[in-house]
Order: sequence, then C-alpha cells, then structure tokens
Amino acid sequence: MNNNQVELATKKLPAQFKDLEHLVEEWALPNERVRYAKLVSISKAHLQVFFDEMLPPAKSIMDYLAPYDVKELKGELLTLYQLLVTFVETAHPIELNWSTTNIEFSEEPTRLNFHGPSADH
Amino acid sequence: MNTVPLAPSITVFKGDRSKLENKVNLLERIQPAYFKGEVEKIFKKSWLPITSTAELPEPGSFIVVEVPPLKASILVVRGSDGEVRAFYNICRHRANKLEMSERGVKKSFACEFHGWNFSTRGKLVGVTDETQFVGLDKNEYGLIAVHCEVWETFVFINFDDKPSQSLKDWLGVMYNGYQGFFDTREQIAHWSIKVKANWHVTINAFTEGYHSLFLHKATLPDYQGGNDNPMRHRPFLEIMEHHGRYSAKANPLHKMTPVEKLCYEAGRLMYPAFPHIDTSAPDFPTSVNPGRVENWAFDITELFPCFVLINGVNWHQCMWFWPIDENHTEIRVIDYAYRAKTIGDHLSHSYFRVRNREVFREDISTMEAIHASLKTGVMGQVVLSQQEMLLQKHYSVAKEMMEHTE
Repeated sequence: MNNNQVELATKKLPAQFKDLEHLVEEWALPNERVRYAKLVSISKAHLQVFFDEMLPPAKSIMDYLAPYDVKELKGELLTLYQLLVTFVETAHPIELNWSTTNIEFSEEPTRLNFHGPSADH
Repeated sequence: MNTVPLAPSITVFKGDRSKLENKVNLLERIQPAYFKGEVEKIFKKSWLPITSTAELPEPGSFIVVEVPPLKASILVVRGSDGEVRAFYNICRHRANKLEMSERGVKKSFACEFHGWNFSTRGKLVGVTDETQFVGLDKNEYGLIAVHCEVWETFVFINFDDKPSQSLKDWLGVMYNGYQGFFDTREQIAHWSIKVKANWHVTINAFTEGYHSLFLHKATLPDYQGGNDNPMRHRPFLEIMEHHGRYSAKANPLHKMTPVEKLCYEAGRLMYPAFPHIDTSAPDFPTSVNPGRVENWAFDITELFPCFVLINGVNWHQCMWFWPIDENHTEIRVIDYAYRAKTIGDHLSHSYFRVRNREVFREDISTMEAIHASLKTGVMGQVVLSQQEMLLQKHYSVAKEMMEHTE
C-alpha cells in the first residue's frame, strides 16, 4: 500500500460484494490514523451495525483478495481491501464487550500522533 | 545493605539483587535540579538506541532524530563507504540546523543558510565564496560527530566525550544473544505522544506485568495467566549490570475472538495469541526466551535508561521514553513484524497493531495521574513487589550513576 493508491480507490466494489457498497463512503478508510479517528468518534451502537454487516462476508472478502499483492491493489479491489481493514481495526470494542468504542480513562484520544506506516496505510 | 529476601512464586530470578531496594523515593526525582543532574550523569553517559538500520538501507540514507533530554537534533547517515555515523545536525558555519527533512537519501548535505556542503561521511566538502574566508582549513570544520555503533538492527549513540564502556560491554550478555532475530522484520506501526509525567513514571508502566490483570482487563482478558498462574507471575526475571528483562507466559486457555482468528489464521499468530515454538534448540538466540520457559509468550527488556524492547515470535516493539524536562516525556513507539507477503499477513499486522495500540493507550492512562499525585508532595515514596523487580533495578542503576558518575 502507498499514498498514491489512496487516490485510486473508488466508491464501487466488485460485483460479488455490491450489497456492501453503501458502507464504502463511511468505512473504506485509507490508513490507521483515520480509522482510529473514526473509531473514537462514534458510538458503540453505530459501530455494531457496521460490525454485524461485515462479519458474515469477511472470510469470503479475504478469500477474494487473497490472490492479489497489496501493493498492486487499485480501484474496486483497493476499496474492498480498505473496507475489510477498517473492519479488522475496529472490531475489538465489539468483540471485547467494551461499553464504548474508546478505552476507559483514556488520554484525550486526539493527542496520539501517527507516523510512517500508521499514517500511510 | 541487606538483600531483600524472596517470597515464594513461580518466578526464576537471575542476577545480583544485592543493590535493589523495594521502596523508592520518586518525589526527589521530579525536581528540576535532579533532572539536570540526570541529563549530565545518565543521558550523557549511556549508550542510547535511537533508530534502526532499516531506516538506512543504502549509502546516503539518513534520518534526523530529535533527542529531547539533550535538546539535540542528530543526523544519522549511512556514508558513501557504507558506515553508519551520527552527527549533531548543525552546520559548522553559523550553527544553523543543517538537514531540515526527517529522512531521505542524499549525496551530500547543503545548508540552506549559505550553502555550506557536507559529505555523507561528515566532511566539509564545499564552502561557497570560499576565498572570502581568510585562512579557512576545511578539515577543521567537519560535522561534529557523536559516538555511534550498530548492534543487530539498532543504531546506538553515546554523547560522552569518551564512553567509559564499549557498546558490547554496555549490553553484556545480550550482545551476542539475538543473532539476526530482528533482521527479517518490517515496520508496521509508529505512534508518539507527549505526556505530562516524569520519564521514570512513564517507563515504569511497561516493565512489570503485575498491572496487566487489572489495567488491561478490557483489552487483554486472558492472554496470560490461566489456572496455574492466576496472578500472572513472570516465569523468568533477570537483573543485569544496567538492564533488566523478564519473560511472560502465555495462557494455554486463551480464546481467540472471531476476527482475531480470521486474521491470524490467514497470516501468522501474533499477540495476544502466541504460537508454540521450540526455543530449546541449541542455535536459537539465547536472549529470546532467555529462561527457556514453557508456553513462552514474549520478553520485555529495559535497556537503561529509557528504552524498552518487547519481542514475541513474529513481532517486536521498540519504545522510547525521552524526557523533555522533569515534568514531561515524549513516548515514541515503533512496532515491527515479520515481513508481509500476502493479504492475510497484512491483516494479521493490522489486527496486532490495533490491539497493541489500545493496550499502550491504557498504559498511558495512569501516567499523568501518578505524576500529578507526586507533585502534591503528599506521597513521595512507592513500594514495589518482587514482580516489579525491573523497577527496583531501574532505580538502583539510576542511583548508582547519579552517585558515581564523574
């Protein structure tokens, strides 16, 4: 994954996953920094809706993407990959039964800085 | 001083405990004058890891690293001859900051102020309008070097005029203990945060496992512990001349969540799931699972004064706790993992870094509160369990350097 690929993503998904297209705008996010910002800004109920919709097809999305090299992904495939990574990187508050999407007693979430790979992909 | 006796536990303790104390005064350490002393006697006298050779893949590759306790900007560069060197990032003409970008590859370094030019080996190779400098000998105006040595993939510097120990002696038994263990890794996460807390308080949050059952109950409910080790005692803990380390034991009953399972089955097992590997083979690096404990999960090593290395089978984490002053610390974290080849590997990386990030954020959550409490002056002394022996070690080494360093 590299910075140039961010511009190559589309709002569309491969035909097999068309029914997830309504999630793209909000959830196909390009890097850890923005996925984190999204996570700590939403309610758990809101996250739960995304999680519940993504969990059943997650394995088939992985299998669909498996033949590809991440660095070569573009267009619909890149969008699908970003949607899947957002799911992976936001699953823990649901799976660990947190009361919110943020850890308890956390430092102000916006104080954490993201660099290098955390800012790029 | 009498050595504190050991209480029964599963922990195998190794090393000289005779200088350790289980009560430590933190209040004196958060005073400005004390901190000034620490900069002179600790930070200017220790070997400090500052970056990785992965940042310096080819001749001319460089990285600029700010070292807050010294208020120094350090230019680390792989020279045209392949050697890694460190210099103060200062132009020798009028002391302007020489290299402004954080990293890159260059044939030479030109100062933006008047165009003085330095080679990748630190030599002054070009002075603009040179005839106007009467009697200038360019050999006398190379970049100011800082002692620099490479160990495994780590680049260390030492600000002392004449370091009292070589890096090899400074690292002791660890020097030959990893043998390429870090070579095949790639960087997968990098975070930083400035906290209003003394640097001792910040590093102390990462060098004991006693807290994991409590502070991390929401993020790591079952990765350690289990029926035979409910309080998550360290199976192995070692005190060295400057440094300290312990291993953590995996809980064989750890239950992977559905997404954890999905990712780690497509890639490799990473924290908080731990693959079983045979670390008893004679050629397995001696400093990885140094106590050869069963159901090994990971090791935590404090490289004194302000660096923590955490290593598992397929990943390692580098953490710096750089003091800015006696009340503020900049924490930098870089996560590395086995090199990804497939989508499944990338998803394993993603799952790991986020789970790890949340644990890190929990660790941060206590620091400012502790520092604020100490600042009231009501309670200056803390008491430490033998499971917190790396903190005892940290303070005994710090005390010795403060008392005996010239």
